[in-house]
Amino acid sequence: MTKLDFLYGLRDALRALPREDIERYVEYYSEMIDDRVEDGMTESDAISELGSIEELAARILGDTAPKNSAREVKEPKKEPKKEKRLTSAGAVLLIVLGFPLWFPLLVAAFSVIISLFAVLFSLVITLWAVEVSLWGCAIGGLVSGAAAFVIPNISAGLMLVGIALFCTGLSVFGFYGCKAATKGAAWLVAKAALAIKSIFVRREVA
Amino acid sequence: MDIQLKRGLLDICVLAAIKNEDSYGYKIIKDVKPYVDISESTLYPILRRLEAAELLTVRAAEHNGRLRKYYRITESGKARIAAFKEEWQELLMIYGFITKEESDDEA
Repeated sequence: MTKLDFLYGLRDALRALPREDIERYVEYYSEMIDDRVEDGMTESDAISELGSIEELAARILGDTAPKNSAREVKEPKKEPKKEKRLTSAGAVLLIVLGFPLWFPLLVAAFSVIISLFAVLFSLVITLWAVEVSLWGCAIGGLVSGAAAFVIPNISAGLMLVGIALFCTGLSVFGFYGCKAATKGAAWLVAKAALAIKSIFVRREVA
Repeated sequence: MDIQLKRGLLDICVLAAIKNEDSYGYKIIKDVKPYVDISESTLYPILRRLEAAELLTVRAAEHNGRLRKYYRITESGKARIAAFKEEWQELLMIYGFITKEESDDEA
């Protein structure tokens, strides 16, 4: 490989870096090769001493952290601690600053969830209310029917007992319906609660 | 050698290599290598760091029809070397204490 090929390959491997940095690196390694050749080495030996383009580029890209490096001369060991503190402090700062944004959203989401539960709850209660009124009709019909037989008003009594029986029949169906609706509602609530919990507690099931 | 120790020493070695006269990349490596292993990819970030910390300055000068970068130590750089020497005077005393204790036990 010639020096130009090597530098061209290196420039390409470093293309992710800013142009200034790439030029600096290429100049630096070009100088290194030239100095070695001046010292008596052949160009190919000088190049092979630098290693493969891929390895060299990997090392360079791994080193690219100029901000941190400037501190290293003075405080080599404090670096990792500083980075950790910044992260959690930064997170707290973001939460505090973003409060006007996320808090109303959270409250809104919460309200929607609560009102959904309220709707579900009232639906179930309505069904039971219908059921209870059917019982009421059944009992009321039987009682007034019996009273009508006593008066005597047979046709009224028959009608009332008929209605009572009809209501009784309906309420039997209604009862199973109410039971199913209540169970379904309870299941929905449990599922929703789990879903909400899983948003916050992601890592337990691993 | 311990990596952290080596890193700190390399910075000082590079400064020492340019302490008495300006030098250039390849020569710095040749001067330091007998004492601490250093490669050109190791030297590059050290030079950048020392320049950023204003412990050395860089200039480009013509040499055999091409441009070569020369590095010159600054006053801060010299002060850094002096500080290092002081730190290590202490270290040498501690070393003397440690080794002295061992030979006493053996006796």
